[in-house]
Amino acid sequence: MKIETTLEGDILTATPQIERLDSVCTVAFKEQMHISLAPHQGRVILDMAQIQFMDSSGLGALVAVMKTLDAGRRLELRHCAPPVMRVLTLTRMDRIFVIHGDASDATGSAA
Amino acid sequence: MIPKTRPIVDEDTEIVSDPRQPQATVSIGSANAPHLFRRVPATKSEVSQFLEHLRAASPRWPATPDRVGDLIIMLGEVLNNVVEHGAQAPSAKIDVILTMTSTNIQIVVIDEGRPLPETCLTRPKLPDREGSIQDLPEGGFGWFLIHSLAKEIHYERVEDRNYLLLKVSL
Repeated sequence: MKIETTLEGDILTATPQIERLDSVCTVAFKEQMHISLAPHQGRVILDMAQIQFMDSSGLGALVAVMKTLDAGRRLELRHCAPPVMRVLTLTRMDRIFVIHGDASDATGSAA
Repeated sequence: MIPKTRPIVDEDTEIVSDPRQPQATVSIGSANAPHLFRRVPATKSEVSQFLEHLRAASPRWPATPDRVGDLIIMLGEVLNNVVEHGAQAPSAKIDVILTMTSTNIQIVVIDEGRPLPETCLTRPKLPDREGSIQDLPEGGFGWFLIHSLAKEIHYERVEDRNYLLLKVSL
């Protein structure tokens, strides 16, 4: 699995190059994210732009990734497609992650 | 006679009959209702491909993208639950029957895996999200999503098979 990362100031943005975050790929996703995030101490934005579908195991993977961020940092999500937002809102996990509508929201204001 | 209702599947969709138990008695709606029959190998990747196939076919269905999205989220949770907890033989298959009526999409899922625990049939509470980030649950959302999205859920165990029927509003 390919996850592109960019660093801008103290904000690391990770963009998984996958269309589905589901039980097929959650193990690889967590491993790759762990590698990408390990040395970073600042904010982390996960750009979901490529992801058109997420199931409950994908949601669990997002929680697992957030737990690897120390110091109480929240995982920030950007560009969530409607089916992804649906899972986040139904489970009320949209209150747990920081959800950004678009790029300017994400980089404009601190979480 | 050609049904007036629009078919919801490709013309090449495989129709799966069940020679093992032709007397299976799950009612799936009127004879003219559009159906989709599929036998899905019980693996995560096959389930994922099946859901993607449904999504790709869905623009021609008489349903809004939101409703189709809900159907696919719910069906994915049901099928993955069978893969992970029910049908664990390497050759295990899951039969899926979709029927679209004027008011809802009805789904029947049949597998030969372990019985579904009764606790799955009542609406669960959301996993506890209080406390610190480290205490957040990483699982337990699947059946919550199913119960949130299904208008009706019926389950029966008949002769070593699980029959699960779900309805989603159109």
